[in-house]
Amino acid sequence: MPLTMAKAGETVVIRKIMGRDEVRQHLAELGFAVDGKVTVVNQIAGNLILKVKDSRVALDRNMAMRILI
Amino acid sequence: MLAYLAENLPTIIGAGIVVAVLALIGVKLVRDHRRHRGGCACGCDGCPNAGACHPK
Amino acid sequence: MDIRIALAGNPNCGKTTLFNDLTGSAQYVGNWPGVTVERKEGRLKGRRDVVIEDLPGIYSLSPYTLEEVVARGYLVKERPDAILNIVDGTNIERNLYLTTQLMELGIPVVVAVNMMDLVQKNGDAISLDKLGQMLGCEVVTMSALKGQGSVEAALRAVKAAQEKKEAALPNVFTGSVERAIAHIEESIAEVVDKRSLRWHAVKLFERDRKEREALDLSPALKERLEAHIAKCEEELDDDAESIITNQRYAYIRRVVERAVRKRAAGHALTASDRIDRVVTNRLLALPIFAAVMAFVYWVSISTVGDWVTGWTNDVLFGEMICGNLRAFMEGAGCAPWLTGLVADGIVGGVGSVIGFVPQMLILFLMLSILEDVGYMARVAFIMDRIFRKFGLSGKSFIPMLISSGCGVPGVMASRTIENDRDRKMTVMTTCFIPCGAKMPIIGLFAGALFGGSGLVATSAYFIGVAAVILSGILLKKTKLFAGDPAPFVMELPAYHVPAAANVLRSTWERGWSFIKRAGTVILASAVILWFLQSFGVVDGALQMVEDNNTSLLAAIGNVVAPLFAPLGFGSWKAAVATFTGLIAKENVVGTFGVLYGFAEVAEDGAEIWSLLAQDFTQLTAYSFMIFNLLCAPCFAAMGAIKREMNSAKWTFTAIGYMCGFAYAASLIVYQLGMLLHGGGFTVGTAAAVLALAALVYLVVRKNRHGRAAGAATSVRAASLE
Repeated sequence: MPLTMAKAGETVVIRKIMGRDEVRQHLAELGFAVDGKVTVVNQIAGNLILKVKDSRVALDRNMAMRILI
Repeated sequence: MLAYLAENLPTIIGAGIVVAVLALIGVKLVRDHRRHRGGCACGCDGCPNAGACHPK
Repeated sequence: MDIRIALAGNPNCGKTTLFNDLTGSAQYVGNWPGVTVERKEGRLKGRRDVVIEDLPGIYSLSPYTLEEVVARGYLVKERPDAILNIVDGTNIERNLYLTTQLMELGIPVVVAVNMMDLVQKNGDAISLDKLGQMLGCEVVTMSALKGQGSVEAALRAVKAAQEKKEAALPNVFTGSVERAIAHIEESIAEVVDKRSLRWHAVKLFERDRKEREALDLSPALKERLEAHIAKCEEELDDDAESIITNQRYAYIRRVVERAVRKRAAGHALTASDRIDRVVTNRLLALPIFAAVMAFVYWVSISTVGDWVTGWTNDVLFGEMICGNLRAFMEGAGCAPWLTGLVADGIVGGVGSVIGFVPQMLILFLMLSILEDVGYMARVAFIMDRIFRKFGLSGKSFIPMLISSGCGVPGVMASRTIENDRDRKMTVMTTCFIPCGAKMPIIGLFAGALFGGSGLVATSAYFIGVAAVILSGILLKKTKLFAGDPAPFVMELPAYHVPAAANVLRSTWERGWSFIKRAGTVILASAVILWFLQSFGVVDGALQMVEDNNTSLLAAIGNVVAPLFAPLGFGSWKAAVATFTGLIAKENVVGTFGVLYGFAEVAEDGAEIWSLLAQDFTQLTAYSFMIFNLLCAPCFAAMGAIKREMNSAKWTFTAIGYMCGFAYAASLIVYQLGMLLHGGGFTVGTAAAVLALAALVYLVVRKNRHGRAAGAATSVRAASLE
C-alpha cells in the first residue's frame, strides 16, 4: 500500500518506489530505497514529514503515493 | 573676490562638505554596482539575508 | 601552481559555514557559466596558494538537477587536486551516498565528519579510524558551528593533494554487478581518463544520459555495454539505476555497522519530531503560523519599536540634532539655503528613515531567530497544502518568507523552484510581501494616523500574503501559467536552539546595511529633492520659495498626481513620495521627511507625523500604504527580477502586473471606503466596483487549462561544454 496510508508514528519498510527515473532517483538520493526503513512523523492532508536514514524529509501527497510499503 | 570668499566662507565650507559627501556616495554606489556587491545589486553573498536563502 | 581543493557535501551539512571559515573575505562569488547556479571560490586563509572551490550542495552526482550537473562537470573536467567531503555526522548514512561516488573519481578524498558535537550529544559514536579503513581514505572530524577542526581538515586535504594519494576504491559493488562494471571498465579503458575509470564505468552502467553524451562511444561498443547491463538487470530483476543505488546503500550499511554505534535503536522520535507533530498538526499549523507572524510584527512595530522610534523622531532628531545643527550653522554664518539643506533636507530626510532603525532591528532579530531555529522550513511544508489547492507548491512560499526581510534575496531564492512557470510566478509575486524597507512606510502611517496600532502592521503583512495567494490563483488560471504543481520534496533540518552569535550577527548585518542605505542613497535623494522643492519659478524667474507648493518639485509632481486621484492621494507630495520609492522604499518616508520638514518654521519643531496627519485621512493613508506596499519594488529588486527572469518581456510583465494589481487594490479600498462613509456613488466608485468584480471573476472562474495542459517539467540541465 502507498506510504500515505501509514499512520503517524509508524515505522515501515519500503517495498517499491514507482515513477519515472528522475523522481525515483531523487527520492533514492534522499534515502528512500527499497528495504529501507521510514518513520512517519506527521501528516497533513496527505503531505508527510518522514524520518529516513536519520534525516527529516517532507513530501507532498503525490510523491508519497509513489512509495509503496 | 577675496572679500566675497571671506564673507561666505562658512557657506562655502558647508557646501563643500555636502558636495564631498555626495561625491563619496556616488563613487561608492558605482563601485558597488561594478562589483555586483552589497547595496543590493547583490549576488547573494553581499546580502546579509543569505542565511535564509542558502541554509548553511 | 595553485592547489585546488573542492568542497563537496549534502545541502545543510555545514559546507558554507566551513567555506566562510576557511576563506574569510577572500571569496569570489559568481555563477557557473550559462546557468543560474552560484559558484563560490576562495583562497585558504594563510595559504595563498590553495584555492577552495565550494561546490553546490548535492545529494549525489546524478544528471538530474542543475546543481548536480554543475558539480560533476567541475569534478570530472577540471579535476581538482583533492576533494574535502563534508559529511553530516547526525545523518551519516545518507551523506555517505555521495561519498561513495566521489571516491570513484580517482581524486584524493578527505572525509570530514561535521557536527560531531551533536553526534555525541545524541549518545552515538563514530569511529574515525574504522570509517577511514572501510572507506579507504582519511577521515577527520570537525564542528563547523563551533569552529573546531575546519582548518585542520583543509590542511589534511592539501596534504592529500600534494601526496597525490588516490583513494583506494572501496568494494562497493558485489557479485554480478561488480563483474559487469569490470567488463565495462575494460571496454572503455582506452577512451577515458584512467583515474576516473570506475566512475565512468558505473555511470555507463546506470545508462547515465550525460555520460553517454560526453563519451560518444562507437555503436558496437554501446551494444556490448548494453548487453552487459541487460544481463545484470535480468539476473537481479531490477533496473540498472536501482541496482546501483541499492548496492551503494547496502555497502553503506556495512560501513555504518562497523564504524558507527548508535544509542537509540531504530527510529525513535526525537525532540525535533515531537515539536513537528505540534507545529505541523493539521488543525494547529496555520493558527500557530498566523500567531507567530502577528507576534513578530506586533512586537517590532507597535510596542518596543514604537516607543523607541517615537523618541528618536521627536527628541533625537527633532530637538537635538536638527535644532542644534540649525543653531550652529546659523551661528557660524552659513547662508540660509545651506542651513535649510542640511538641517531640513538632509537631517529631515535621513532622520525620518533612521528613526525606524529600532523597529527594523527588532524585526530583523525576530526573523533571524525564526530562521535559525529552523521553523521557516516547516512553514513551507504547512503552506504547501494550501498552495497546492491553487496549483503552486509550498516551495514557492520560502521566497516569500525571505522577502519579509528584503525582496532581493526573496526573488533570488526562487531559484530553488524547478518548475519554470512556477518560478516565474513566484518572482512576480514575491515582492508583494512587505520587505524591511517598506516597514518605515507602515510604521509612519501607523504612528501618524492610527495611533501606533499594531493592527496596521499585521494587516499590511496579511494583505501582502493575500495578494500573493490571489495572484497565484488567478495567474494559474491563465494560459501562461497553467500546469500541475511541482512535487514538494524538502529536507527539514533538525530544530536547534538559535546560536546567539549567529542571530545577533545576522541581525546586525541587516540593520547595518539598512543604515548604510539611509546614509547613502536616501541622503543623496534627500539633497536632490530638497533642491527641487526649494526652488520654483515665480514670476518667470527661478528663485527660492518659501512655500513648497510652488516649487519645481510641486510642478513636476502635479503632472503625475492626477493619476493617483482616484486612489485618494492625488496630491503632488504623495505622488513624488511614491516615485522616489522606486529608488528605495524607505525613500517614501524620507521624502515625506524632507517635504514636511520644510514647512517647519515654528520653533517648537512640530514633527512630521502631525503634519502628515493633516494631509491624509485614515482612509487615504491606508490606500496610499496599500499602493506603495504592492506596487513595483525598488530598483534593486527590479534588478534582481531582471536577473532571474532573464528576459525583458517577463521583467516588464512582472513589474506591470504588480503596479496594476496595486492600483486596483488601492482603487477598490479607497472608493468603497468612501462609499461606506457616505460619499455617494461616483465614477470612481463605479470603476472600483468594476475592478472588484473583475478580480473576483478572475479568481473564481473555472480553470479551463486544468490538468491537460502541460505537466510539471523538471529541470533539464544545460549542457556544460
